[in-house]
Amino acid sequence: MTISVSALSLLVSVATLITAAAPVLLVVFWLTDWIRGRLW
Amino acid sequence: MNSVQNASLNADTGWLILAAFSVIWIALGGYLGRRTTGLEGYMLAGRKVGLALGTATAMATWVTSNTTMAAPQLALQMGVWGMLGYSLGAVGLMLFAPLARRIHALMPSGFTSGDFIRLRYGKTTWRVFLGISLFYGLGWLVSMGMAGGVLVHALTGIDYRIGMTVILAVCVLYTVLGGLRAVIGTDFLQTLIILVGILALAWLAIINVGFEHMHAAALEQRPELLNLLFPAAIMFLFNNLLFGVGEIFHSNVWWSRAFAFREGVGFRAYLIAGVLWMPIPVVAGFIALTVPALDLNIPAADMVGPMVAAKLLGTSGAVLVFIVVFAALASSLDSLLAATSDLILTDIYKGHIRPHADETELASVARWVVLSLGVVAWLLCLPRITTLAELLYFTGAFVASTIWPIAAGLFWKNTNPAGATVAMVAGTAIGLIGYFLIGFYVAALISATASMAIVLFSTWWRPREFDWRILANSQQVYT
Repeated sequence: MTISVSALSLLVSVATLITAAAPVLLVVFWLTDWIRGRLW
Repeated sequence: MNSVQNASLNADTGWLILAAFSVIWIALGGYLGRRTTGLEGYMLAGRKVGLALGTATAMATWVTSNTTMAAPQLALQMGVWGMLGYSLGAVGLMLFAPLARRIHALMPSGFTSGDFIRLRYGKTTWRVFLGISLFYGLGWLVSMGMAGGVLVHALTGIDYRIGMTVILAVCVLYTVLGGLRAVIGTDFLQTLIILVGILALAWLAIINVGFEHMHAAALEQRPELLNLLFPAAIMFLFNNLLFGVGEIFHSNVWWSRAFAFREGVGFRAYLIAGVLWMPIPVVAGFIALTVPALDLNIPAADMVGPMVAAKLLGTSGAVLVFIVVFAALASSLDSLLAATSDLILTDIYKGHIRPHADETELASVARWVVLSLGVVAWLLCLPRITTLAELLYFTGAFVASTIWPIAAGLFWKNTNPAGATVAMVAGTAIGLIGYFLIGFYVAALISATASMAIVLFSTWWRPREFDWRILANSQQVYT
């Protein structure tokens, strides 16, 4: 039983999208914390 | 393009990158730590770390050089399940989220995981736990130091001893200078570098090879990579999950962050870090599935990541991989140095040698402990004992035995010290028997199961009510 091309592309695409969102999210968190004076 | 040499940089370029990033990490660590005062400031970054830095440090610490180099290797060896199994390491981070909240609530002035075990279960359990934790911490530190030397040599040709010395020295220096503040601050930048680097590689693989070509070539040349019924890989998946949970639940790396995070941050930081970490091994690992399509000959499985990068990007690919690997190494090494030093300082130095040492004394000794630990790790890394990589699998039996004593100790008031001690000792012993009789991939699984049975049975058989208020006073004298 092998993984189909559509399942593989879905798995990798979703993983890539979440990974792409991660740095954006971290920078947003950083800015929010910094503005609120809650970085440290 | 099919040789390992093509995936490597020349030594001059390697030195240039090594020097540039060494200066950046040391300068940033020194800058961030310039206002660090007192023991809490040095060990716990003042206990006010916010969500952004908290999430990033949890992610960066869990992304080791293994994640960036071994995820493609595992995908090449175990196919789809290899990278999925690796990504289940995120479960440990997510499960630690409620524990982090509980730890912060029960022990607002705690310093280490050892503090909890000592106050919750007493000295015998504490010493057993310290043995496991320090063995694991030093083992991980040495394997990371060695990985640094091996990877620098593989990627640039720079001598193993020199590369290992430079990477270890850089991490020791900025950790000594700035303590946990330097560690967490540099982790943020390192996380961004790792994420962008991995994404760039994955994106290039998708654009240049495409899923259909990748799938068709793999199906023709290496169909086992796409096989969903691979028993050893499925066993590896569950073992890796429990190994990860055990590593995170017991290690002071994660406890020190739970103490360092601002109130209300711990739960969210660990949960978000787990969710964001989970896809990383898939993104880093799937590029190995392009090997058949790219017609690459991989003589050493652990070089598959750099070789695919070099094939797709040429020299720029090798530069990218080297920068990502350096960031991943530094983000884990600095955390291990800081957290293991904290354990040595509070649980060994104050706990066993100088019980009445005051905060001023501890604050001044803290830097020396980090430095000494760095020197010990360097000495252990020098001989390049290759079997040390296997040591980490070996420790699976040890760390998995701590999952239940810690989780039950945090949430159930009736779990008793004898049950916790026996669970750790017997769980480890039974896990090791499984390691030697069956294989590395079952050690953590067997250990955690045995430990769970002992904790559940002993809690039911000999319940002993614990007063949670005892944990609030974690700075009591150790005598």
